[in-house]
Amino acid sequence: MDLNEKVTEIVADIFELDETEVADELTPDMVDIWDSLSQLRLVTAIEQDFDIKLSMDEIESIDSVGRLKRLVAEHVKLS
Amino acid sequence: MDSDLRQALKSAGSWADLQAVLHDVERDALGARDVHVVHRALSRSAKSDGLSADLRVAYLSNHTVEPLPGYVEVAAAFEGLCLASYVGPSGQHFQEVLTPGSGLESFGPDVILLELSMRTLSPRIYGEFLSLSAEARRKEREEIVGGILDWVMLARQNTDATLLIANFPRPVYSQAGIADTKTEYGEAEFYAELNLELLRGLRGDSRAFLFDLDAAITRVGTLGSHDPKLYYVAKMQWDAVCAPQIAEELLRYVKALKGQTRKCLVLDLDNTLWGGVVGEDGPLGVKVGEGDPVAEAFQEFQRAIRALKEKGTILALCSKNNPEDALEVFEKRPEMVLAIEDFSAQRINWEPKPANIASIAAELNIGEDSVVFIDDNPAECELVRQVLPHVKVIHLPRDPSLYAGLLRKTLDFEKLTLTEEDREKAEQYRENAERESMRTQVGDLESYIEKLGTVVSLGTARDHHVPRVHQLFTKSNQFNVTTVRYSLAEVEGFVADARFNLGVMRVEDKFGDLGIVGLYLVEDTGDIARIDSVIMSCRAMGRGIETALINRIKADHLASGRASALEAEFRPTQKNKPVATLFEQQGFALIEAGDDGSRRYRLEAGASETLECPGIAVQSMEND
Repeated sequence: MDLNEKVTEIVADIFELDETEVADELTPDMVDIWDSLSQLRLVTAIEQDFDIKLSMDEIESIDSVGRLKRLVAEHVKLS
Repeated sequence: MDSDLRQALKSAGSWADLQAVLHDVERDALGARDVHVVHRALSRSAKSDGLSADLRVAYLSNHTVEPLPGYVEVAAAFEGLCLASYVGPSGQHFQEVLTPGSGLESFGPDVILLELSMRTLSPRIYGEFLSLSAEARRKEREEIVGGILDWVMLARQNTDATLLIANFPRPVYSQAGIADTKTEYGEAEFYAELNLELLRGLRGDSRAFLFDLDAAITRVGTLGSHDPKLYYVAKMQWDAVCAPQIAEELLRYVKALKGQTRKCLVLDLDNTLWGGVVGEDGPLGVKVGEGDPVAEAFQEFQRAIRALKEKGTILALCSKNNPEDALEVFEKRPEMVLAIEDFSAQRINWEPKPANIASIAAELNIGEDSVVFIDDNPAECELVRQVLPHVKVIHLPRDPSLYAGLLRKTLDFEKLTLTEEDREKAEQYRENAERESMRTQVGDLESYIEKLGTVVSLGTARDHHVPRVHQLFTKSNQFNVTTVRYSLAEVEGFVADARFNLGVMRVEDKFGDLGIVGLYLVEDTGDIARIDSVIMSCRAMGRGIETALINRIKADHLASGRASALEAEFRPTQKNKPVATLFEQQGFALIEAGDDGSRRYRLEAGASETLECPGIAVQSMEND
């Protein structure tokens, strides 16, 4: 599965959205339950499923699904 | 978890649908994302079914306790239990139990987990250990233990919940490094003594338990259980690797509190108790003992089994073999940890295993849902699963080095406390076998009961009876007229409240002491006394002891003039048929029969008679 698709799937699972609703432009204020706690839940799921670790700065910088995809791509490329 | 399963979970509507999907899911293999998906599905189905929780669990802590409650709810769902969770505001565990109308009070917890992080509880100990004098460290320890025990006392007074108090895992590295153990009152000593004092402070408490967080964390490895950034970002102490372990530890309590403790372990022989096949390799050829890696692994497995026996699990054998071959291994191999006498029932024959297991359950007078069956053969396991769906089947992995660990990890045999009855259970079942053989010899029931020489002692329950009484309330199914499962707090309440007459019954006979095997609970409601519960362990059934017990109720309440009538009730369950007509037999008059099979009875003082219990000597309990 393509990396972007997998991120989309995980985001959909954590925020209980349909995958078609998960666009790169999706931001926390567009999703009711996207708060700091569920953002951490998302990060934990992403870290486990891609076997990567994000830094505190990186977590704080996640302001859209697109940004998350770029972060994951960078880490996966590095490892 | 594959995407099909995930999809099935998302579309599962009812609790029953969800249980069916979970059947195909491996709990240990769930990642953080899967747990979230399962958790959402649980919440949806519980809501849509209007399900009320089997157990209400509150979490009080001084850090962000998420994601723990979700993990616990998911783990419990795999055991068929629906939990409700409440997380108290961080650091307010005292306010929560003291303030009328607090979130905790309105939630009404059955269980409270108090889990405090040293980081917040004592920043000086956590961060500045080396700058404190040994004296200051000791004083800090005393204050921490004192504070927690104070909280326990207040929580006992203000809630009915069972209390679980987490101990403290040691920091990953000591601040003094390897010199810590040469320092006066270093961190190793501080944490060891802190945890020991908590353990000792709680051991004698029937309602508060030390929650061994330290052991749960150790299973993961302290380094791997904690992602430091989660603390800085969200004050979250436990990460997604650690949460499942803590959840599983908590689930042990949940299962024990819900009476989901299984009573009997049925074992196969070849490639289960020993390596190889006795019919082919011969009794001297099968592998068990020292000097060979495989043989040692089987010996270790036997040790794990024996430990279960010692804490009161009944052992039984079910193996396809010639009985002579199998018995020869027990006779000729001193390396065997288990003796043939350790097994209270044996089926070594060529009959199908489901039939054998059903007959073992019948012989021991226990339900199929009290049985765990262990076998290495996948076909046998599958057959038992299909024919006896209530039996828990454990299929052994290929590698015997994994057997012992697998058994020790099992949640099915957990007990909150070990009572005298637990420790002597195997002995008692052996005595039962002797009774049974005498019964066959003697022939008729009357002379058998005569020969048994049964002595029944009856008396009022006292504080030290609470764990055993609670065990009888949670675990007895057959001889149980109303099957109300009372909590530890409620049992304590009955002992303390003069309005309730809670009695216990000890039974002895020529073969031995059966222990506390029965109870009655009667409530004074003015002129009428209401029999709330009459319970007897299945081991004591079948010799007319119940008449002595009911006679005692009549004497306590009617003959004494305390009440003018007794009222009683029978509420049918799938298992309590043996007591369906108990009250008729004891002279009560039926006054109402419900559509659901329930029946209400009444016995006027004028109509009450003390019935004879032939062959049974009855005495008042003294100093028990």
